[in-house]
Amino acid sequence: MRHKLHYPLLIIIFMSGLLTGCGFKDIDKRIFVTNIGIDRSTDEKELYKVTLRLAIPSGNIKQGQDQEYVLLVEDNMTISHAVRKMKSEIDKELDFAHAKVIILGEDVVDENLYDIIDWLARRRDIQKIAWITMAKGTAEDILKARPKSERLASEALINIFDKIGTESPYIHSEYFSEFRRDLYEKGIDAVFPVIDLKKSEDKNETYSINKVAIYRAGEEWKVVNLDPEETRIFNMLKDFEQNVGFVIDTEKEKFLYATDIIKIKYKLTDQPKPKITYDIMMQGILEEKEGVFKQEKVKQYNKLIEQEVKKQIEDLLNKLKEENVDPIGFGVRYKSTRFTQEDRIEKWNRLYPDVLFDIKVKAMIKSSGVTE
Amino acid sequence: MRQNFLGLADKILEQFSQADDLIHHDIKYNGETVTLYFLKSIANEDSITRLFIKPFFEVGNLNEYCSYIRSLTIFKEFKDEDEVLQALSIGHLLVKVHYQYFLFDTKNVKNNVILETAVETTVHGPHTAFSEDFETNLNMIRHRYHEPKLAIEIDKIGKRNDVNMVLIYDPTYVNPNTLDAIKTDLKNLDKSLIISVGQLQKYMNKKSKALLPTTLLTERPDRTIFAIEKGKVVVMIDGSPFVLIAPAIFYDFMSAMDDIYQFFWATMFIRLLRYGGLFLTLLLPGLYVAVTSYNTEVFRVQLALSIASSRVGVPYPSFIEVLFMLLMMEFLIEASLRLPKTISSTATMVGGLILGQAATEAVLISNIMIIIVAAVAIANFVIPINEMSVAIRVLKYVLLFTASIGGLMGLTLGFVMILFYFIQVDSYGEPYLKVMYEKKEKSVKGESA
Amino acid sequence: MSRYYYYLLILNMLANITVFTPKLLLEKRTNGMIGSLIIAVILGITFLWIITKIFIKFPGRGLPELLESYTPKWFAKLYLLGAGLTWYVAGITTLIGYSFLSKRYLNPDMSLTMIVSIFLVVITFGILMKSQKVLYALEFALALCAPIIIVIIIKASFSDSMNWEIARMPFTYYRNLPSYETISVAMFSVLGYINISIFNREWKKPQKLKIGPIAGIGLLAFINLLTTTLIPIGFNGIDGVGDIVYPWIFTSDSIRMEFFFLERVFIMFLLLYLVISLISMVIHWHVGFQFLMGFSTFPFIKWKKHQLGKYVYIAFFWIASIQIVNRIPEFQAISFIKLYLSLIIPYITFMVLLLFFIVRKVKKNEA
Repeated sequence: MRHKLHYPLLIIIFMSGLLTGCGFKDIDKRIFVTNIGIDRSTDEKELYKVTLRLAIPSGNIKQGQDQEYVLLVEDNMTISHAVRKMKSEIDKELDFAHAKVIILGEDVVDENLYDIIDWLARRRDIQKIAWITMAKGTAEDILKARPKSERLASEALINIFDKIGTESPYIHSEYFSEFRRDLYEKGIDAVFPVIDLKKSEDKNETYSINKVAIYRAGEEWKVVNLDPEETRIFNMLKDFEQNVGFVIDTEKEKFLYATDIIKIKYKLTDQPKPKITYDIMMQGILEEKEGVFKQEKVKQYNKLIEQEVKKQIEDLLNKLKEENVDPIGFGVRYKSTRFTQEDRIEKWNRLYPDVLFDIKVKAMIKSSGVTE
Repeated sequence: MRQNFLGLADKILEQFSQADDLIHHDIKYNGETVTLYFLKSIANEDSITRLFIKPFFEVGNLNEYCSYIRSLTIFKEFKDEDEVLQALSIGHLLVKVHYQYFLFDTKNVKNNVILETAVETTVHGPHTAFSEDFETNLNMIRHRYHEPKLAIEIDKIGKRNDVNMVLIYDPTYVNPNTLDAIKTDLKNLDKSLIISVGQLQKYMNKKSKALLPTTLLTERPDRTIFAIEKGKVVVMIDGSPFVLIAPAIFYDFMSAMDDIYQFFWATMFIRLLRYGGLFLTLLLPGLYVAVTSYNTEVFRVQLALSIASSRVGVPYPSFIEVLFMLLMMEFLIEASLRLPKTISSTATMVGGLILGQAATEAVLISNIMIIIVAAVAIANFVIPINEMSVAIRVLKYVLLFTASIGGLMGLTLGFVMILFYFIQVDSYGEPYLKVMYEKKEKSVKGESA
Repeated sequence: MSRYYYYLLILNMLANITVFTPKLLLEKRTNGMIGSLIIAVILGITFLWIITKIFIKFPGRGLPELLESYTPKWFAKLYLLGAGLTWYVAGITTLIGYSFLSKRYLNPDMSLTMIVSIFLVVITFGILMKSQKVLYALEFALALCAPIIIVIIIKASFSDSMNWEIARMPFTYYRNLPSYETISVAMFSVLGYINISIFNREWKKPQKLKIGPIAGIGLLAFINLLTTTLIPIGFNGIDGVGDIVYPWIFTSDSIRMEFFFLERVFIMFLLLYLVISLISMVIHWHVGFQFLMGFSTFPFIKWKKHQLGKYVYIAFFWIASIQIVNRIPEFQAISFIKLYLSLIIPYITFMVLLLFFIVRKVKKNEA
């Protein structure tokens, strides 16, 4: 038998070490940006203050070491320039591909918002499924916080918006791409979840995300804040959040109604007068009750719930109308169902302040929980 | 047949002068003499005594004796002296009565033991494999496939060793073009020494440098029967416990005999597992390099961080790390293959456990790498036929290479390239890789139906 | 028809989504896009019917063979050269698009030349295969990719981020007149049949064209064109989708798989379309290459008995591709592709006339 040495083959094997190089960068030579925070700069000359939170891969996660991360802060006229400068401050390649949460400071959400959104959209490496949120105060403060429950670096914020960890009707999570769409789209206003810090007595910081802010675009831009209770109703109407609790507190009865299923439909008519008719069907259980639950009074309870829900929804919708913001997208509904050739959205803008809301709620107590 | 070959006896003695196992034995009775020539080492002495010596004393008459031995089924005709010499060397018996010579096949085969399956084992199928004797093997095939039309063509191959080669096929199912192509290939084979079917497999592949097997070797009679019924041609060589099945396409290499014996969903599951293993072993090393060094955005954050942390301190780029570990694994496989069984388990132990453990401790490679290498090795063994499994073992380095050049893009392009390579291979007119195979042509199968 | 015929049709529909087609279609989203799509499908299916019907009459013969037997030699040669180059350009539009895409998303640090070269290695291997093997490869690519692509599209349509109210907006502009440009861009997705002019060689048995499957193909093409345009609109807004260069890539990055080992659909989508685009390029260039081989095989170029004529074309493919991709800026590429696609309708009309001429000649010969 003859043995032939295949020189070409050997050369290829040795060459493979040389051929790599363009773009080859090992994962440990990269550092992952997990959060991007953008604030208005306190420096007069600069415009933005960019804060990046970088997760540091630590040796052993299992042994329950504290999460570690680095904050980079930079002031500059443009965001990209700030990022460039930060690159010189760290020994590893900044990798934005895992920037899961983008936090904008309260101050920076003004006409500059478009520039920021444009920057985020233009960069290929920023996920369009990152969550966007607005900080009460500055983004920097939020990023500096270290909640105790966080095991992995930046895990807490991700888990909150992910809704795989915690599930709460107060949290509204918004993907960047959805936000961008609503921001550009006429007939719907973009919505931020608002993130805030809460300090407990033992100096442990936690995030509190139970509010939303609605950004109205245009010449007279403005931000409308909703309080937690309104946010809850808003999430129900917008995200079809299924588990919402209602407290019924009348003189005779006091109980908490927790829903399991909510079905929401609305109709929009502009003849003779603009009117939005909501059809809401809900099923749920009694979660907390003062006094005795009486079966024969179920119908009465249902009535009470319906009144309460109706009132809360009406209050929210009227508030939105008065503020002249439209986060639910009535304008889009109007646009997409009218076939007139004139500018529909302007017509809708004229109609919206006079719109009437007709809320029909059908509530049902499916069970009284484990006990009667 | 009466033959007059003067001096044949002298020639035999001369040719076999150095063979101490040559017996030339005169038996005398009533003044008549008969001489027997045979090689003691290879001829069956029992049957010689029983069939030739005893009757000689019982018959007593030379003419009657001659017609008796000529009626034996083992009686062979011959044309010239060379043929006789050749025949003696493979265990024939030459009987000299006066000046007449008679040749008999008294071969004594010592290696017709039916073996246990060693390479291709199944759970429920037969546990017997072919033996090293082709007649025993033919017996096994005939025993399992009762079809009067079954064609068994015995021929010789190899210029020097002139070994028996058998071509088996079912004329009802076989594609005549394929059969012709195989016959021409075998005829054109210009090799002096053919020892095993493995050689045939290599030489019958048209390309001088090939990776993919286009014929299948098996030691299992049930797979052989199955192939015959599917219209394939089986080539058998005396002395080799394997048979060759042609044509063979990719799916043949990915199926085990158990697939026929198991229930439908079980088979589906196992097949799925097998293809999963194929993709895993092929793609995983390249994938690791691509996603750790080029396209880190693939992971979830948590996974990215844990991989990054496991790689902390590893001094080499990822592809060196992968290459190093994969080569270690290949050494281990090769070593345990050739070592005696008792030692090989120690080798695996030392290699697998200690080396892996120590390499991670010494931060030469990351923990995740060990998991990947183990997964690659195990998944590779899911492929049932060894030739394919080796081919895949080689191909994963191609993908590792392309992934090191171009990340996920390189990996995907490399994969497509391999796909093209598989697709453009033919096995005797059968496309090697095709998503759907049409049913056999009516013209071929029609006769039997 | 042979199932490979349908694969060719489906391939073009799928390849449609990748690069510039969505962008070009979406330019006219408030300007009679839906009407254009309907016209494109009807027109496309009509051409499909005529051309396929004629080719069926000549089983086992491709366009080069037909031209050779029934037209003057100079015309056949000229036509084949033209057709070869046309198909080459069809392939290169995809190559331009996908190499830009790879540069942007998959390998930002790799040079374009390198990216294109890697593509070309694989494609060259592909086009040199036998026609039949090219079809097998096509089948395999579709079998591997199409199911996952369909799952992604379904996932996208049912995603929470998909706003159907915005997505149905284009329908409200139904009164606007369809535009020629959009029609010709949309026609591309029903153009797969035209490769029959080479692959007809493989279909030696008489084929039958049935109205049912073709109507199904028409419907599928329309649905495909709708998903191509409406899903990006639903994800990015009718006002926000306009300035995105690769609407579908951007959209796929907006889909999230919550419970899957990959979170971002985006990367999977890019890789699936890498395979689809690659096969599409191989098909186009294989056909183009066969046309050019019909033009001339350069029998005088030899080296040690090896015919090297075909490598002339391969060399040309390589050099031209690398040059074009390196020199053309992205936005110019888009207008170039637009121009190229607007030539489809005249080209096919010419081809139909040519085929009619051939059929008439055959009848005359028979009479």
